[in-house]
Amino acid sequence: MNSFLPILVERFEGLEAELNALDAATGDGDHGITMVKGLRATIGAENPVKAFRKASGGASGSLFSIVIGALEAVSNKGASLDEELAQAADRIGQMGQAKAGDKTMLDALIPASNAGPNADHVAKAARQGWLATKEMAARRGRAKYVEGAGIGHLDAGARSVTEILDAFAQWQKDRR
Amino acid sequence: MKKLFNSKETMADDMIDGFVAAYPDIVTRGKNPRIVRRTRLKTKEGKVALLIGNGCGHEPIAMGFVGEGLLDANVVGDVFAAPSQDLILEGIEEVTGEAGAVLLISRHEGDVINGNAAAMMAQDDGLNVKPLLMYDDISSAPKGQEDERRGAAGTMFIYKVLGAAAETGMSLDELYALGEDVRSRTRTLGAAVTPGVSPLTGESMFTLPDDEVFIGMGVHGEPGVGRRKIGPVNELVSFMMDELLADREIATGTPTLVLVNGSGGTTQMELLTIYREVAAILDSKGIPHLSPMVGSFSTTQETGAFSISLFTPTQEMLAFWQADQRTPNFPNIYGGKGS
Repeated sequence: MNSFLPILVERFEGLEAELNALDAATGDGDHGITMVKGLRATIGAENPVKAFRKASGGASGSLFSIVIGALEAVSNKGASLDEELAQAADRIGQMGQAKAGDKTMLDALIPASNAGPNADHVAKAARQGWLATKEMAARRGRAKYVEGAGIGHLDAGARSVTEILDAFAQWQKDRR
Repeated sequence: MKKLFNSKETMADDMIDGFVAAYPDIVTRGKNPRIVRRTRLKTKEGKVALLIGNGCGHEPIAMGFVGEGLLDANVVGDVFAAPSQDLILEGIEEVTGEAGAVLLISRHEGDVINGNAAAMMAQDDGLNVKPLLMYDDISSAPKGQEDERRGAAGTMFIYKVLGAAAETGMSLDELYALGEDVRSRTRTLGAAVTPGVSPLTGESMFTLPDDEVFIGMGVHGEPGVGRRKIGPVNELVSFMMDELLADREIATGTPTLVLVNGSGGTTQMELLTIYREVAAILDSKGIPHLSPMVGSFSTTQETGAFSISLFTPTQEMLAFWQADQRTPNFPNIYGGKGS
């Protein structure tokens, strides 16, 4: 079966510099690098989730590996997209001690998980959630410690969730 | 900005190669090449293991502190990125014996998430591991929310005190309690002057006008929380000491340990001048200070920044702080004034 992972690699390779720049406003500017590193490691891996986590490292390695695991379950086991994303959001919230409105990846993931099983609707909801992070004050992650807690800056992690779900929707469409 | 490395992909591993080649009688690689451990481990003979995982780019912390009297191992992540939970677990497995292990975690998001996950996996496998969160930076959360603060240079007091204590055969539970006690007695505040350059991106990690300093910058160059116009250093230090002593009062006559840490681009000349001002302020308040540590130990590339840490030890903690150690990069601690 075709995997969605190569499409994610391609998508994030194109976004690497942009994601670094987004992250630099409130963090250390390496979010694009770590995402690409993790995604490349999934190709051909026996356990793509673990491969991503190990290669990416950092908080994002652990947290984004959960999103990838959810999409793996949808594509390989026919699990329902919204249910998997809701479970992923719960786990990420527990591990990262974060909730909706904290200006994190959850601000894209939670609305996405509430958008029903259709992948297009999910991707659209994620994007709207991401755009809403601009006015949020960060309460988790390195952005929390920045002057003004990052208000006025879009969150890099929420952007990555948006791109992952958008690429996944595209992949599902192309597969049909 | 020019940087000297072979490739971004290999920079962490190339550095570790150099480190273990330079100090082979003290440190060696573990089964996973990202684990740096003591060449002669005592943790299978009843000593509690002490280890930490962290992103690299902050040397000499933490791998430079592996050795007798300090850490048993350091799990090295990529530049500024916590090692994965899987890698930290391998580090725990490598050094933990019957007596158990303290996994030190400097309170930063990735380190906390991956460290706690690794400790849970190790406990599931039957290893007696306790994760100890370390936090001391008063700029990162207000007084009363100490456990929301992030780890900064003052965490080195915990490394050293627990490292020496573990060597005496102290039990896991006692060590953990001692670590919490050191943490409760330590406060740190930092100030940044010039940005460092990320070796990953080649970009400056923050921007700052020539006439300003940032108070409370994070160790990864996260922009600070408060700005001031730059002036004579005694004014800056006086402001910072007022903040530190307001956060945790130190009574006249209480022996105090001072750590002035540089972030890589602040010279020893500057750091010693800062120590001069700290010492003068403590003298004026009748607070005896002894056995200081002044130098660049927890760094962020060539960042021009420093922090002041104050720690009021018990007699027992002081003895552990002053105890001999044999590591590549932890400095000798001398008596200093008042001892």
